[in-house]
Amino acid sequence: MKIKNFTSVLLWAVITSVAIASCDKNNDEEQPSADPTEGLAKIQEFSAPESPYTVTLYNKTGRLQLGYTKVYFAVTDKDGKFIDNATLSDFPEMDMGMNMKHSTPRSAITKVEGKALYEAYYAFLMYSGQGNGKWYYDLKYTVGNVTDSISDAEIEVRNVFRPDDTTERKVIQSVKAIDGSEKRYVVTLVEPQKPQVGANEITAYIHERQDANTYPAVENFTLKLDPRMPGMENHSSPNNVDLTWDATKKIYKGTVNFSMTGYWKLNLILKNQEGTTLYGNAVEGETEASSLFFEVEF
Amino acid sequence: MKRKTALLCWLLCRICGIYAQQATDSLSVPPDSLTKSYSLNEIVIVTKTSINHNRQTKPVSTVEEYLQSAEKVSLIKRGSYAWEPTINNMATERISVTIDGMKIFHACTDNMDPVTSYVETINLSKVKVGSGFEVSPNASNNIGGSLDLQLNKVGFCCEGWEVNANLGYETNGCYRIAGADFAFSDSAFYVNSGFFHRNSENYLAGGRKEVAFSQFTKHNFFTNLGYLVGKKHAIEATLIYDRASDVGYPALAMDVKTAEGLIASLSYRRENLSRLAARWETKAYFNNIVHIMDDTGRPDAAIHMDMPGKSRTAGMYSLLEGRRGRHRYALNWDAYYNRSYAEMTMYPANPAEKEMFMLTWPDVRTLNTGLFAADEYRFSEHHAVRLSSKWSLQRDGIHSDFGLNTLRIYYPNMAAYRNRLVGNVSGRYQLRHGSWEASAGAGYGNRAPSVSEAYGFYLFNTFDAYDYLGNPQLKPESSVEAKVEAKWAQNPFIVKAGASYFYFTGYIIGKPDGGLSPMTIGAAGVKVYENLPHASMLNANLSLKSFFMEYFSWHGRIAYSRGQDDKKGSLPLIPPVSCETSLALKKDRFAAEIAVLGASRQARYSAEYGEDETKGYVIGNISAGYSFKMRNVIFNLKSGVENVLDSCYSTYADWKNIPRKGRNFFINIGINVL
Repeated sequence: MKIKNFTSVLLWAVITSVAIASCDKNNDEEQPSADPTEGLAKIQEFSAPESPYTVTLYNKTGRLQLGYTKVYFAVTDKDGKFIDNATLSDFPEMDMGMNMKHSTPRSAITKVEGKALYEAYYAFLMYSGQGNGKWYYDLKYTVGNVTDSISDAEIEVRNVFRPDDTTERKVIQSVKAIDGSEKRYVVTLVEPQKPQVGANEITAYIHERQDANTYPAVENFTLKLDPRMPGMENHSSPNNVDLTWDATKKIYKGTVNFSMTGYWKLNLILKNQEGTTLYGNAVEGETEASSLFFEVEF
Repeated sequence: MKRKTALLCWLLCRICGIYAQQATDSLSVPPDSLTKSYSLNEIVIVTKTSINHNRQTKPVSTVEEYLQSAEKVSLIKRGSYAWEPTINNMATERISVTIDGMKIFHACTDNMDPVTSYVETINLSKVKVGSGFEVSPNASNNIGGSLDLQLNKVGFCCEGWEVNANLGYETNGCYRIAGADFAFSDSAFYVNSGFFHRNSENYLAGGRKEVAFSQFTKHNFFTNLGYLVGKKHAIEATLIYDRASDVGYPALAMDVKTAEGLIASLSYRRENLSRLAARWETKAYFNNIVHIMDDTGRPDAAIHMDMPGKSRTAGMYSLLEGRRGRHRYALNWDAYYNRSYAEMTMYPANPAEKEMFMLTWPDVRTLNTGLFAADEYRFSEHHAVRLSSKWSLQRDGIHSDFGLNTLRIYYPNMAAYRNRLVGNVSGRYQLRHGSWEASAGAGYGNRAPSVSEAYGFYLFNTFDAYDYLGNPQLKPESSVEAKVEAKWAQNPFIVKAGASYFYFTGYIIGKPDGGLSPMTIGAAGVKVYENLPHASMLNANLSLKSFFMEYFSWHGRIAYSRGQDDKKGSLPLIPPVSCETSLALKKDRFAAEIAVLGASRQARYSAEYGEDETKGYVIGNISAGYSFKMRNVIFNLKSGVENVLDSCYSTYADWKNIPRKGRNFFINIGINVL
């Protein structure tokens, strides 16, 4: 009798739990979101006069900042409908007065797979107000046979600070090669944006500055990595992986290990395909840092 | 010496079983030769089951001072408080310390709080010292030996009230000691409870040099309760709360703000359960230790840091003891769960910078459950064999993701948890014939790496100035032990000689890893724990005792130890040849003792582990005591001088050669109201 009871209870328990589990599964299935910008924060809206379309700039933080900034563009018509067949191109320019102007490394604007959204990144060399400069933005967009453009819209690029909110944090560096070639490169830190203790993926871009407005991405270079804690007698962590070119993701990728929280200096040495050092130096002996470095603090 | 004489007398007049038991009487074991033979090494320190500290040279000594007199026990000193006991020259990682069978683990990553520091002698009735794998049913991961600190429960035996008070003062360091306790018992209920306080300022080393940061304050409170249900079922409870504060550690870079221990247990005991089970005890327990370090008093701290540590253990055991025919046996099941957590926050010199945070013990969880069995078989009056074995399953690992991610930097493929089988098996043959007693034993056992050895993260060791990194991939360390002991006693002489030899496989020790960058400012490098292929340790001692002219006794002892790693290099913290000799007088209520202790130069030191040559030394102590009774109050007065010649010396066991106390006058008054 007892055993029979027990079997029934067990059966009941199994059936119930299966039922509950399947309910959960249904609940977990997300409804496809109608708004592709969900979860993104608006930065700025661009609309050419008389244009039937509006382009809105978004990203996760709602602002543009020094160094790497990932952005999304949404193109909407008058009814607020998201357009998924637009083509966009842009040109940001820093004007420091006295005819000193330059653009900045950036990607082309491309369509996000499966969403009515377009993406790009910038590697802002300067922040708004730096050297009394201002950033101006030109944008051209085409939907079907309609092409409109905006020019000289002012955009705000914010400086990047360490957690004390006053000291600048190094996230991008423009360098002149020391191999005699006189070539200039821009090295930009992408990840980690949210560093954690343990192993972090570190990614970066390298662009060559051909002129003030031309910064093609450079492939197959190497960034040798040496993370240090200056506050702890240059303590380092082991098993870091130098940044090498990832041809699939089109980015330089490596691993940085943080053995504790705090202020870390990511010392780098930039090398070309041949392994020739283009910039930076090893941290050894009296040399406490490389001339090429990024800063991370958490 | 006096203490040892008292001890011997005690042993002769009182029966002591394999497992010290309070209700020995109920077992009604006749005083046979076999049980007495255990006086060779196992039951080293004994006081009366009720409260009486007056057998000691210093009645109000700490547990560590108490342990110092045990033959196989040495103490590593980092200051004047919380000395770390070693057995057979093996420290915390290789020995098991239990409090009345309860597992308890220290909470400080720098071994500033050996668990013996969370109890007071007033809490204890005796300390059982086991050498190697022997004796303690609740010990696990012990290779060098085990300590079981047995609680001072008044028991159901004695009728009525007893009140004790103890006062002490020592000139060196202006050390003040005060304690009081009471006991009440009848045939069905008992309670004893007490309070103890210690406070010392910096002590002076020989030559009147003040040792900065050697102060401490300690409070201890305890209560034991027992209730007998229907004359057969004893229910007992214990609560100990111990709090040390403002403790200086002159040998370390940091001091301690507070070290708190809460120890609680509830047990059920049944005497004379059946013909096979003379005694059955089941106990559930819990203890919580919180250890807060503090470097704010140190003017030379390179960087200010907070280093709190916690160790919490819950466990249970069930022990059955009995005898039948020529067998005496014990069976025990135990299980415990420990959580060891320690963190470190460093505050950079630049206040705008973020503080640096890491887990130094990444919330390490250990679940261990084991079975113990022992049997002693007496062939005849002269011969006996004892076999014992304990095997435990242990699962240990890192609960914190933060901690796991950190250690995975160093060990990318490490698993969060791992399972291990640890245990031991040992046997001993004993012979007793005429004036002779002899025993020979052998054992094999292994241990899991300790929390620091497996999972410790950048633990700075001031001894060798290296940061130590745990290694989760360590294999258990195993050891084969062989020992012989002999004793010859014929009035007026007692001669004892003994030797033990340990051969380790996979000996766990830190080795420098040049590829790793130190974290601590000023550190020489990083050492990572690894298994040495083999290592060995030899301990030998000879002691002689003689009684003469009715009231006098003389005692002499010499000990030799040698520890070698796989390359014939010396292991750290191995003592040089040491001797002690004492002359004691005891007549009626008066007792006096002169003792001389010394050690040779430590020539075989381990430079690799931060040791340097320690000079030889000789010091002398004198003490005298008198007790008298006024109505129903017994007064015990003890006073003496330690380090009479005020020598400035340090021993092999003094961390960073911190000098020991210089000349010290002490006076203790014990008041016992019956």
